[in-house]
Amino acid sequence: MRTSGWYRVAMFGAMIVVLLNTLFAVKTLHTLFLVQGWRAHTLEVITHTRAIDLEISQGNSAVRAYLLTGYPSYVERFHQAKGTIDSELVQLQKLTIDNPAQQNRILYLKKRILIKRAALETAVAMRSGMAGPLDMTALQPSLSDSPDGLPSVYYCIDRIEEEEQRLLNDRTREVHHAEVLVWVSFFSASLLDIFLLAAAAELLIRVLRDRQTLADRAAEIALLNTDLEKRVELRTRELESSNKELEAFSYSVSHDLRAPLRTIDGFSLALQEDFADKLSGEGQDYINRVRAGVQRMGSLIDALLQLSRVTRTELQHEDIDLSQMATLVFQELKGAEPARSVTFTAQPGLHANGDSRLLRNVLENLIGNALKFTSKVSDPQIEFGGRPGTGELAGKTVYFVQDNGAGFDMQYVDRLFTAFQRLHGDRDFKGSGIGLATVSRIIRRHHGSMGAFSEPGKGANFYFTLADGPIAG
Amino acid sequence: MPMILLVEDDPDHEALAIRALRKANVANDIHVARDGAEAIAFMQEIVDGKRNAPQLVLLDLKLPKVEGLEVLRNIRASDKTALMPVVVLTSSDEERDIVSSYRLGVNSYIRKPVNFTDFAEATRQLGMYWLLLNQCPPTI
Ligand SMILES: Nc1ncnc2c1ncn2[C@@H]1O[C@H](COP(=O)(O)OP(=O)(O)OP(=O)(O)O)[C@@H](O)[C@H]1O
Ligand SMILES: [Mg+2]
Repeated sequence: MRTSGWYRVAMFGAMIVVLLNTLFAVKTLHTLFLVQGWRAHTLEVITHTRAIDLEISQGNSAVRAYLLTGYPSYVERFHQAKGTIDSELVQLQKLTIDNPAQQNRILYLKKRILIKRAALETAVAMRSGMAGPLDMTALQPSLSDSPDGLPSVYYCIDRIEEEEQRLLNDRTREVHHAEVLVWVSFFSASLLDIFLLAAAAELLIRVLRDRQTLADRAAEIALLNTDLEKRVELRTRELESSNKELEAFSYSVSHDLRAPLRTIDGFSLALQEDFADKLSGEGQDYINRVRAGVQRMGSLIDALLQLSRVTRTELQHEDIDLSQMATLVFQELKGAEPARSVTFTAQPGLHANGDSRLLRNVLENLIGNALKFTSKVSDPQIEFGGRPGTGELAGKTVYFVQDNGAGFDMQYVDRLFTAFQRLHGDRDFKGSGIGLATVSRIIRRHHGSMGAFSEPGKGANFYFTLADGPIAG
Repeated sequence: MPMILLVEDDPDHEALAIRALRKANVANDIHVARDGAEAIAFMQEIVDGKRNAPQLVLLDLKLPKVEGLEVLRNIRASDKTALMPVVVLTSSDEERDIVSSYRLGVNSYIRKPVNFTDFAEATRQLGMYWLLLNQCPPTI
């Protein structure tokens, strides 16, 4: 949009420049015609002046010839010259009407011509009245260029022509100047046109090339996109199939692995009940140990299944009151140990977006652990709360479960979130070591992160974050 | 005396189930079908009038040949057997199994615990409830 606006402005500018140039060229051409006209006019004036000059000479010659020969045809020629001179003078006056100096000169010329003419006519009259030989000396004054000694007719004509010659020179120079201007203007206009045309062509080529590159790029991107789509589709299918495999696996684990355990336990019980009289106390104890082992195996399988279920189930997002949920979970877990007295506090009003079943599982495990690992302290205290995150977790709410129980050595903190990793022996605190692995998986599925800090004997703090808004997948 | 149909492929579990039932003072005849196909054949005989309907069916889900859920569908599909009380007894606590069973009209769903003392107790209550307390629909 922006570039096309610029192009439009440039286009307009170029058009104006071309137009001005053309106007200038036309103007110079006009001037040329004008000064050429003036020059032609001057030439015409000169022509008429020369014609007068010539006719005067002709008239003079005719009179002289008449004086010599006495032939009347010469007188006729003289009169003819007079007529021509008069009409030429009228022409000359008309042509130089705009030049007062010339007009004065012409008027003066006219006077001089009349004087000269009068002298000549006197001579002609003298000759026609004479019968004998001609007295040339008496006629001489009438035949001189200046009968009265003032400037001669030729002199006057020369002045007029001189002035016109000067004008002619000026105008010839002007014509030459105008011609140069015409050349320059037309040449520059053509040059400018060629330049602008070249620029426009270049611009056009560039635009076309840009468009081509854009089209090429778009095609490339489209190609990449389809490729990406294909790859995503492939991965999705792979993921789906591996999920299905996992599901089938868990399903058969839940059936097939438990079946033999039930057989062992069932027949152990049958032994105990049906052959009680044949079994010593020691034998009874062994059977109890067998059954306890089976029990443990059973809960391990259950724990594993729970872990795999976390990966398999689809997330259902909703708004959850975590504070309320934590309180309920605590009450439920505490219900299983009515003899203990534990102080539990939950910061009210902590909400989160997530899968309620899975988040409940998180709280069950964390609060369950807190309950378990405070079982040996005199005043057990458990707190659920939230605080604004700092550093990497800035902008998120960090939820935590804090207790004042056994705690652990921070050296092993990373191990806690792996399945079957425990920092406390089964003798002190029972468990299969799958709880935190499950929690960590749930938090990961909610696009959050988790961690813990503690010191042996000083309690532990387990914290986690969740994605802010609703999450896909 | 009305009998019980036990659909169970594992002979150990069969023996243990029968023992638990007897311990719970269930004196009824117990007929065992060892896979899904056998159970369906048994139902066919009832439909054909060659047999009396059992008072209770204890059905495992994971069976060779024909799955437990298929057997359940078959029972509910035929008028003659549709109203028969069926209790699913299985190791699975997968949600989809529980939901599918109830969809197909199971009367009760019990997960076999690993601990056999618990199972014996469950069996005792089962026998008491379905064989003594519960009023069965009249046989068609
Ligand atoms: N609140 C706590 N205080 C001290 N140590 C803890 C606490 N919570 C967890 N731990 C340590 O982390 C280990 C792993 O915890 P996790 O919940 O995964 O397993 P568990 O509680 O031992 O068994 P399970 O939860 O599977 O029954 C525990 O064994 C314990 O060593
Ligand atoms: Mg735990």
